[in-house]
Amino acid sequence: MAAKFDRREFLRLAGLGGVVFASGLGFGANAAAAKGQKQEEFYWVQLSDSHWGFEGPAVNPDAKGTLKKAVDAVNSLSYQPDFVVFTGDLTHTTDDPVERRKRLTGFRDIVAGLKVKTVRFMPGEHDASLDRGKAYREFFGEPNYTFDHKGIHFIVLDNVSDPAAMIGEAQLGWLKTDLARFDKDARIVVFTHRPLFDLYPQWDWATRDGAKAIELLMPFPNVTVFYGHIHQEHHEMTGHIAHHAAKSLIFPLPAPGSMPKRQPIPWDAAAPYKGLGFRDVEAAAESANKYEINEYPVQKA
Amino acid sequence: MESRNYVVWIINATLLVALLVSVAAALFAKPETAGERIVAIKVKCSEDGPEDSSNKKGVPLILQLSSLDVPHGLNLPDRDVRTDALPGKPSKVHVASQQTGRFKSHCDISCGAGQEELEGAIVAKE
Repeated sequence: MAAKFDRREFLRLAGLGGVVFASGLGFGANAAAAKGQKQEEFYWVQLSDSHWGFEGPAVNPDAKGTLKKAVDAVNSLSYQPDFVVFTGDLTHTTDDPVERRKRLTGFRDIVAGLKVKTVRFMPGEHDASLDRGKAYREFFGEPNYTFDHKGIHFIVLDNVSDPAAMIGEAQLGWLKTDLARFDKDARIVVFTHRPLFDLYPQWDWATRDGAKAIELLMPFPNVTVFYGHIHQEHHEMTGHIAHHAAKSLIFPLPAPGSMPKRQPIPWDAAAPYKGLGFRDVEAAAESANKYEINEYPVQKA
Repeated sequence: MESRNYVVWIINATLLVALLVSVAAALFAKPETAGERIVAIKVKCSEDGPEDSSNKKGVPLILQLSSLDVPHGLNLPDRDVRTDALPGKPSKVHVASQQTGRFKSHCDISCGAGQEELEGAIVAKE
């Protein structure tokens, strides 16, 4: 508990962090997901949509430096997170399989500089949709998996390796089997790339069969979803399930449906890196479905 | 009177480009039975699409799609219309003609770099 207080105090004094979003409805404590694991307070860092290999000076003249700055910013946190998770689009898409692997290599080399050595990955459609995840697997392994940490069951869902933006019946069956192992009060966090719900299908901000995953998750009152893809902070509820989208590390996109086209927001020379950033997520010990989200800029203003 | 009863469907080039990624040429329309009009479209990555206009009000539009290269998917979320466009396997999708407006479309199957920048629309005018 001392660490928690100190970290919050540090954030306040350093002027770091942005909007703090308290997620969840507070269904009570003692809902540790993994048998024998005690629910403890901790935090992780979510980074997303770094699009390594992207080139477009009008939207990010520092495309080759932004991810490195983010890694440095995470490393500069006084209290290091338990783990870091990248929620997809690690690299920018390319039709060239050789170039795709070159970009994955470049990304992997940069994030190897993180002090935190527990780093979780998942693909975005830019990484995996054109070869059904073949190159991604060579570097980072299976695109869907689970892990348990301090009382929370984490599920990584792949909704991009199928070029039709689907989770697929096989993976949905895997999810159903996995969830069947847990009591209904289990504390569950889902990481994925695309929104599982229809955020704005006109811009392809959806997962075609995402509703089936949500249906499987609905019986569990303590579920929260963290995702990327839309290059902006966004919070939405589907029933009792909170969905939190993260900022990008390459360029921001407009709010859903706010512009005629889904195009990157141009670089603002007066406010470099505006709209870019990462977040930390603090899992509270006292409530089974409560998370505090702190948003950070890529670099301090 | 005649013009009041006239609905023009414009399949914007960028439209199926949406699907697009682009339409490679072959769009041709031919009057079918009195109850419908069929527009055949062959799609291909990264080529501009054609433009079509003119259909009579109340005449349903049927898009007949096939792909010249890889699988594509035409999705018009506002009209609850989607279909695959597969190589060697033409598909048909019905677009009701009673509603006017501009309806965005996109390709919902990843088919190549640059796909997501492309989008299109079907425009129906009174």
